[in-house]
Amino acid sequence: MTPIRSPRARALLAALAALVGALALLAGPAGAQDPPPGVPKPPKPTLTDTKAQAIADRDARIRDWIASKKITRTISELDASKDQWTAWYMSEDADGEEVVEAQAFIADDTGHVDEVRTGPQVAWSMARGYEGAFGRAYTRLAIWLPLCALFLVPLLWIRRLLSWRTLDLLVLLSFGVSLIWFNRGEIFTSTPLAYPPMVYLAARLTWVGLRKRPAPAPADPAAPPPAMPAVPAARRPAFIGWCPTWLLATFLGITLALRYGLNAFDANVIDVGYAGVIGAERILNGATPYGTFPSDCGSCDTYGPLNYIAYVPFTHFLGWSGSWDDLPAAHGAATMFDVLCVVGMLVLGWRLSGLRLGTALALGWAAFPFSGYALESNSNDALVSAMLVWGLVLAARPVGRGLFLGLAAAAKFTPILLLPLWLRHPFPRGGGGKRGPLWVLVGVAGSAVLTAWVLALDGTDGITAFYDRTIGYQIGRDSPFSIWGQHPALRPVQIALSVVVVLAALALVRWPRRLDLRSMAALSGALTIGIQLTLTHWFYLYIPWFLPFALLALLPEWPAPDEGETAEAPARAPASAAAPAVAT
Amino acid sequence: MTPRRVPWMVVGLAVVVWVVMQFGWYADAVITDIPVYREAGEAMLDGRIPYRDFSLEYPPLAAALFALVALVPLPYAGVFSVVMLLCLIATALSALAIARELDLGAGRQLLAGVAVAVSPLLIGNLVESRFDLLLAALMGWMIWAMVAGRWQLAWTLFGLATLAKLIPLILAPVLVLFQRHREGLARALAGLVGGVGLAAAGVLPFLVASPGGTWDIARYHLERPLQVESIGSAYLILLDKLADIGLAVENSYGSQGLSGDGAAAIAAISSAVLVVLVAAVAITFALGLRRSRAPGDARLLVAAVAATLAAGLAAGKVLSPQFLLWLMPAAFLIAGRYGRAALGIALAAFLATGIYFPHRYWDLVAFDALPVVLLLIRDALLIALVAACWPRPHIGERGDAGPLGRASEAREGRAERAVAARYLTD
Repeated sequence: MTPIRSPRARALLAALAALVGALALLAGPAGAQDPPPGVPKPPKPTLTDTKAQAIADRDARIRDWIASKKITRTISELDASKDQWTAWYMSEDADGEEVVEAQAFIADDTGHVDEVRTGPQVAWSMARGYEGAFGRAYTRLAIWLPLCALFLVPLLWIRRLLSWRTLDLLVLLSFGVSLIWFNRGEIFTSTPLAYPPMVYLAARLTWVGLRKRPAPAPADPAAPPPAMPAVPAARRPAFIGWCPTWLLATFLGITLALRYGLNAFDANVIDVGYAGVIGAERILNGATPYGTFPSDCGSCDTYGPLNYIAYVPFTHFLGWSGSWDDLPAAHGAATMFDVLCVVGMLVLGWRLSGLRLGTALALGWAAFPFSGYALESNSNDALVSAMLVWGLVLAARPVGRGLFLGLAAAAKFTPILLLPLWLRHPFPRGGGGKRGPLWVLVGVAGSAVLTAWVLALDGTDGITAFYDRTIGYQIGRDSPFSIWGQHPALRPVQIALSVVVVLAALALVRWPRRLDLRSMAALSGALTIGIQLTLTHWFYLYIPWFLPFALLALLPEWPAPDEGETAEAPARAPASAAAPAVAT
Repeated sequence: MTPRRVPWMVVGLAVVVWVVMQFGWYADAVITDIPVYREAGEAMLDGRIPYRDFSLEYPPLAAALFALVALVPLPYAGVFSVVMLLCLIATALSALAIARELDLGAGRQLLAGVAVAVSPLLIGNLVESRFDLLLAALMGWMIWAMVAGRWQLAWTLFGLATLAKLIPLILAPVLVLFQRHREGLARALAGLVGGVGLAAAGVLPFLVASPGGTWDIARYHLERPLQVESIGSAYLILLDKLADIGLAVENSYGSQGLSGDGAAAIAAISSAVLVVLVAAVAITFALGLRRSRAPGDARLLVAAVAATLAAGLAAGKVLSPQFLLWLMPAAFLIAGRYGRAALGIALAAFLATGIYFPHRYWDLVAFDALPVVLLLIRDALLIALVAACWPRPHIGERGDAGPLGRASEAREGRAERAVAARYLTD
């Protein structure tokens, strides 16, 4: 093209361009995007790599991050498809391999820094604080705070506001403080903030599980008989609080309507839910899920077989397009897991003490923001919780207890550490018999039979792949979502803590001498938290794993143990004593 | 005040209320259906047959009303308003008559009558621009006929009410159960056949003249989208306010509804919930009738009717503001512990409706915050009304003839203490 050299012609062209531009502006924003033909476009790219790098160098976040790093190389590259520059900052690790320390994304047209990623944010998208990445609108204050209120206010004991229960509920909610920084992408602040509530809850549940609660004082034989026969102490746990049962039920209805409505109309599906759908599709096609996942979810075959089996009916009936889209099957499965938890908590409380406790426990689950966080992310974590809750519901039946514990472990493996504790019969008056542990093991074996067939779909290759993709992957996993991952120097402490947790799990097979449902729930919760404390990769979605244990142990008022009650009475319980409602 | 003067006082109050409604706030804004009624009435006077020659969403008795009003050589709206005033008076008198049959105290009788008479002040001028007070009057006297044991009259009124709007059909289970309790199943079924037969006879000529056009009445209501004031819509609007789920309003079927897959799913769920609720009320009512005698069983019937109608509003996919008038007089006459609460909740729902309709209705359609909050409150009140009207067995138990609610309250308190004692001694 011949360049225009005449000043008059240039001025005429500029005036024409200005006129057309003004018309385009009048036409609205859509017209402003595309200059009309004949108007010279600014040359592409607007920036050079040097200019882009200089813009990135001036960004405060980049400067703060690389200030303490030895940057060995920087590069700026243009992504022409996006009209965007990426500035890279590299250092070298001890082995001399290059590590990306930071990235800046700069718009070519405007020179604006669109996004900055530093440290773990480079490799981990979940560390970048994208709005709504987990649960979309669920973490907005307009939803989160009312849920906190729906969890806290009805479950408070107003007459004993200064009580353990108030503190326990507040500590459970305090995970939200950590989430504030997580949502900002500041995981070096958010991650350490998750540990104080976990440590508190582990200690509190351990204390509840191990303490020797005073039995009622024996009657003084020398004392004169009372004029009226004494009213015996309540034999069941009870939920005491200001909130009448009908209002608890109303709040439960509101929270359920909110969480399921948001899940249906707003929530997204994270890779964990996507994994379930892919695995289910593999099973429906007669293949093992392990080692066969697509590249956009390459490490998603790391869960136990139940996780994929549980998605089979939803994938069968709701289908899967083959890509990471809305995934209605994942929505359906996550909703079903949550429903199982809510109903399980309701039944658990109802059988223990009646409708009031059942409603309170169900509300405790449904209104707790982090159980909803798991639901709105459509993850599979409520499946673990559901199995554990129903294990508690069937706690008086060794086979059922073992079956559901085995199923929980077949979804995500860590609950298997509860096995020594769950071998015991948590009803001191109900006996359980010497064969009780054997029946628990029968239940666990049953869960293995129900789920392990998935491994054999590809013969021995499936079993090998199962180990490599699950335990093998988890052992070698690195993550910035724990203090251990953020501070590798603490690795010895992590190992020591892991040993302590394992030893504690083993010790619970005989200790404490007396085990009732409350202490079983409390110790199960403490162990679950203990396991989570040692994990290299911890996330808020794991909170629901121990939530049912914490709610059952901490929410109701439990009666004192019976006088003369023996630890694990060997005799088989009479039919009436074996009724699961008898908790002590 | 002597009992004989109570009806006159209620009639006078209704007239005064009607006069008040012609001025100020009440006359300021009008969203009216009168032009539709007048057009239909005049078309019929011209010899055209509804459903065949022109479409009409209302059943034949409503069409007859429109034509009768058009016969009067006076302004249509004025005549229609006077007819609705007469219907309001009839409804108020039915409330008094039912209260007397239920052995309610004089104060409670007066309260129910006054509540009906002043209800237009709460819900606003839609009472004179819609024909739903006709339905309220027909259902009011139908309930009275039922509790008074005038079965033929009751089923006749049931048939006529069904010819005015289809909603009384959902009352059929509880009406049959009540007559079966007093008269036996055969007579109850005969009554139902008579009532439904009357309604069918009213529809038959039009069905013969134009089967497709007449079927359109049912199709019209089945195909309507989720109306913007329904509880399902309120739920979606709340979710939209909280999470920007994206809602679209469509103007169709003479009203504003929500479109899209989500709204359709909620509409389907609402319909399923409606069926469950109507069945649950009927089952609870049947269980309560087992141990109740007159007048307790009649009190139970009134509660069951009110609960069914409230459920119809709460779970319906269309909840036009005038539908609340159907709750009169049954919801104002609930006996037992929650009787006064039911009256208060119903009146509060009327008031909440009157605040946003018609003055802020178009703001509601635009999802403005204030009318949305009012709608949520109103719809929550309707859900609470279902609970308050629920036919709890204690309403119909023997010996419950004292001042309203007192005896049953005392007994329920004893029962609760007994349950507590059982826990203590376990």
